[in-house]
Amino acid sequence: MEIALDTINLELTPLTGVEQQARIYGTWRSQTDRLTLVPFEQTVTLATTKHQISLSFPGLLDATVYVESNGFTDKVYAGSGLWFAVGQGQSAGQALTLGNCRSTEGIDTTDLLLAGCADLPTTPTAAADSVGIGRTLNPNGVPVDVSPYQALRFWAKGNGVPVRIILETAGIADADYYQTVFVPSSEWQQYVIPVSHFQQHGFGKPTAYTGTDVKAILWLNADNSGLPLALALDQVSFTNTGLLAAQTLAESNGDTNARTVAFEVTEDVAVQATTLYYSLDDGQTYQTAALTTNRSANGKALVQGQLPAQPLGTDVRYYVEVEHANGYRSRLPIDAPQSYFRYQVDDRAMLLVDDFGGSRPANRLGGGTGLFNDSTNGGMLSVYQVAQQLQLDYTVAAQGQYAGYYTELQTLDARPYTTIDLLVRGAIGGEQLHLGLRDKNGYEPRLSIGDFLPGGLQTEWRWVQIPLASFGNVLDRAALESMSLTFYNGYVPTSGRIYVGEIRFTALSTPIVIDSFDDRDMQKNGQGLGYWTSAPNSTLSAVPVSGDATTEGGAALQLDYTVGASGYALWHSELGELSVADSASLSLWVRGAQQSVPASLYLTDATSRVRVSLRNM
Amino acid sequence: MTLNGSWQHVEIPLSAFSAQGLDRTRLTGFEVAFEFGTGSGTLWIDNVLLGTAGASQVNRRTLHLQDVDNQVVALHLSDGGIWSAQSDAVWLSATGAESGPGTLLLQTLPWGLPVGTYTGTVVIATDRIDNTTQLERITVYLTVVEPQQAENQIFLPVVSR
Repeated sequence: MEIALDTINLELTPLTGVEQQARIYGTWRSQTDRLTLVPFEQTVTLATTKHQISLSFPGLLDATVYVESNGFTDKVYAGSGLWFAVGQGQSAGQALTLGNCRSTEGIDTTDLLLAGCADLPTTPTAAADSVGIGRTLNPNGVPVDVSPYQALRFWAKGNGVPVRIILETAGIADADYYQTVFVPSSEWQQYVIPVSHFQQHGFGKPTAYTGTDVKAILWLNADNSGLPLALALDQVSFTNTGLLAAQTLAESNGDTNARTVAFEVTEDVAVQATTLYYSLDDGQTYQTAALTTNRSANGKALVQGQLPAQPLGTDVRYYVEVEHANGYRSRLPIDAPQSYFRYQVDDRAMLLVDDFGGSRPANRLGGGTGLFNDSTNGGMLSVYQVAQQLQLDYTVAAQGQYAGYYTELQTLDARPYTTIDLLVRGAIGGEQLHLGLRDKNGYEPRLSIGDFLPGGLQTEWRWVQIPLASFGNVLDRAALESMSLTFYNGYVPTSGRIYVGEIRFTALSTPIVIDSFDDRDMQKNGQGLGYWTSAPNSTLSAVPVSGDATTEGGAALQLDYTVGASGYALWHSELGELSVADSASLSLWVRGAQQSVPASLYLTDATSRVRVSLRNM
Repeated sequence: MTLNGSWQHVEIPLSAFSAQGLDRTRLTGFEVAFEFGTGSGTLWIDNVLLGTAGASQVNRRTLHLQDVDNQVVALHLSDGGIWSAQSDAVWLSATGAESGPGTLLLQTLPWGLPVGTYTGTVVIATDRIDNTTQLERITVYLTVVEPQQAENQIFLPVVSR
């Protein structure tokens, strides 16, 4: 007996050597109605040779088949798991369209095929992981051993909403299942995702993946961007065909020659075609380059090719596609071209940490990402990756709360770099956050973004440039473990949404910011340090006020003073022990009428105060 | 300088401080002081920076844009000075705060351009404290796939009696 889509194929072999009647009967269940047993019956005449009999059941979930002949009855059970809709309070029958699946001809016979297909119509999403399609591996929820298989393969069609694939296993009790995220194409596309690509979120107990106890696969909306989810799935199978791994990738540097890239393919079924795609226009169009396939004795092949030489300044995206003789097609990154590899031809040292266009959930350095909050007071942060940007929704409304996102830097030696740059925008503008760098000793200074972005966050994309020198001398820049983005209760608004488009280290120059006052924070300046005032026999008020010198929406510092006889009024901003040996100038913007008391500017070191009169400038 | 009630940019060579003995490798503070007189008043300050000695640069020197498109580029200035951006193509605009390090927005204006590829250059000129001007260039390639009509057209009614 075998199942092919909605058909059960029986092979009957008479043992008596004479023609006889056989009654075939039983009950079957539909994917759309698990509670109703539908009876069926037919009679066939069996000759003396083997007979192939096909029983067709539209939307077959499972069936119990009896074969009665010559006073004997045989019984077989046929079935796999079932498709079901997740969320929306809908039953599977209401939400999913089942059937009309693509032919299983060409499916690798060694695959573990999960029969059927499912189509979820456009469905509103209320929160992340709330809507989607599920498929059990067994109709009774019994775990299934898929450990012999190294990849999950399926066809999918979506609407641009990122989809999280969850492998629900019996051995994980806290729901921190192995999962990965991909963005399905709007056209049917085949996906082969190595099981090594799946990781736990990290909120639960770490548990090794064995593959011996998989109960179900879930495809859920991975974000709460408000976009509805539409998703169709077909030909889901566990397989060992189509495994593809990167061996050599092109790195960003000043090399204008052709770049060699190489990938390893597992060749259970022979590789039939390979293509290297690359784009020079930020993914708007792709060109192709040839690849060669070198087979080895261990069943693996090295697929290798060259990306053409490019001039300085070129930004290259690329991905690889491998097609096997049985029609299996895999790409790397797995959901290319939605995801892609990338390098810049640039003679200036730069390091891309993340552009949210690579394979998830790792960043471009291969580091993981995660969330944190105040262990006592809490703080809420939800993070989603949507259309090559990171979306952070935060709420830190209660006293003492903070919440943050971190991305691992893999013990990065950042000494060749001078700045960390962030491409960022706010949903409404005016949102505030801190950027932190953590070294191997656990030391993590965090600087207010507002000090480095004149006018603060706006709804348009803007680059923030933070000099690494501003993180101070204590930070060990030779071994950076992570970068963080943190939202604090002390900064308004205490809830909101920001987007991050890119994070990179550069060796470009940028001024050291003493303060821009645009975060209106009088606790910390651009070095993360404080202020103090002194006004003997005098008064001084220092308040950040609206009215930026150069940008709409920012702030400036207003100094109101009264100086009495033999007195003075002094405002001091701490700089730690800042080294500016390479710096050329002190610059600032000033506004005011002619002062009744002359204003002076001072820079101080450990032993001296050096003055320049503002009037003499 | 003469304060006049408007925002004014002040740039002071650090040599003016180090010549008086300041150790530039261990700065501990920046101060504004009102002294050597009596009275009261108000002074506003903003964007207090220590300019570095390096060259001013953009983080991307080549861009490929298509039809109605835009891209933001990080402009790294070595100091907090004034800059201006000028495009040599009518279909390309470059805008930004024109002061201090920041973001340069490049937008295409391909109105009336036929299908084809076009090349333009944006030149960013930065005034340096030594009264020199430094130039940085961005090359922009535009591909017009679908010709665009002008974004804003005014159609006046024709009235006849």
